[in-house]
Amino acid sequence: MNRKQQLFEEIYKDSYPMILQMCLGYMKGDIDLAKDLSQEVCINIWNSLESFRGTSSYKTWIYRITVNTCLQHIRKEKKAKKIAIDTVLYAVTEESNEVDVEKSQSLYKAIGKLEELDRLLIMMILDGQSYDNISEIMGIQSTNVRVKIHRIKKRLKKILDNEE
Amino acid sequence: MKNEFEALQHQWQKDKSKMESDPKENDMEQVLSTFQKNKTWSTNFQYGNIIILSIVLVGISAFFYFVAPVEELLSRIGVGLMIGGLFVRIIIECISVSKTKKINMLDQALQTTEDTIAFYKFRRKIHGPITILIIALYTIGFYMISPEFSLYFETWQMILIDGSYVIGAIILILVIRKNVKKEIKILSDIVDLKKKMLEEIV
Repeated sequence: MNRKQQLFEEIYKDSYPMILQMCLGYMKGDIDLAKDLSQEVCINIWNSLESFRGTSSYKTWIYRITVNTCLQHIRKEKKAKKIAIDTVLYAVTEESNEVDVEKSQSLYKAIGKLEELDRLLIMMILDGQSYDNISEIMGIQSTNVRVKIHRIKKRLKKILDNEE
Repeated sequence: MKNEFEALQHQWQKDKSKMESDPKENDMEQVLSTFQKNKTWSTNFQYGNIIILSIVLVGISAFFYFVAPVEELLSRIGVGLMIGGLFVRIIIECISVSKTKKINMLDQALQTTEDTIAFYKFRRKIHGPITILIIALYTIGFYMISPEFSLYFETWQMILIDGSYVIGAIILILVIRKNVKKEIKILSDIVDLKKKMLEEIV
């Protein structure tokens, strides 16, 4: 196994759950579309491995590729909009109890109702990223990120409240 | 609201930890084999247009060299225009692929979005006047060969050849038009995305 492949495997093991979860939220909970998008992210990671020079942190690097791949996917994603949100299944919840399944599904549904950019921003916050990190990933000012996130949180709450 | 959001964060982290322990996602051999297949498909898809156009170029060149070598100057200029037009189109596709590769996924999302906008502006330019010019040159070239061809073919055969070219050209123009509309829509979506990124909320 060469060094590139070894590095890729390490990244995969460490970051794939985060990538898949982001893609799952972006694809409104559709696991098949999310897996396809995750594969695209992995291909972009593979293609970028040699360019990574450590100017930003390792995690920031993976987030940037994930966010960019999702945003580039915007044009293909339009077709996927027709998928009925109620039929969405979330494979990871197979082993969970019913309450957990319901909670997860409603969260993914709610995230799916946000605009593409807002989906990515809120998922990074859910994943525990700081405003400064998000600002570094997106290339927009930290104060702008903070205000946007505040607005998205409100919208997400409204969507979740309306569903109850 | 803070507590509610913390509960959502907790739910999110819980789901992620389930993904981490999913054996299907941790079978490295399976993962790498699927990944390799997808990677090859993705690269082939990028070069698909260039490969198809190159096959057509080789086919047409071989036809005029081995099957129907034209002798008159007018016809030779016609063949030159047809082959030259295709060649220019292939070069443009190569530039297009190289521009796609310049969209760096490691950049900040805003920078990548700006590069994508620049790429689609380039596509709009080549889809417009350049593609029309290439089709026009190809068509002129085709009809420049017709007088010499008419020496070897019956009138009805010539009508069939010329007529089928017109039908082919109409289909091609409609396909190009559809693609142009699609790409202009993509461009406007990405421009909107950039606006949303930079939007300041008061």
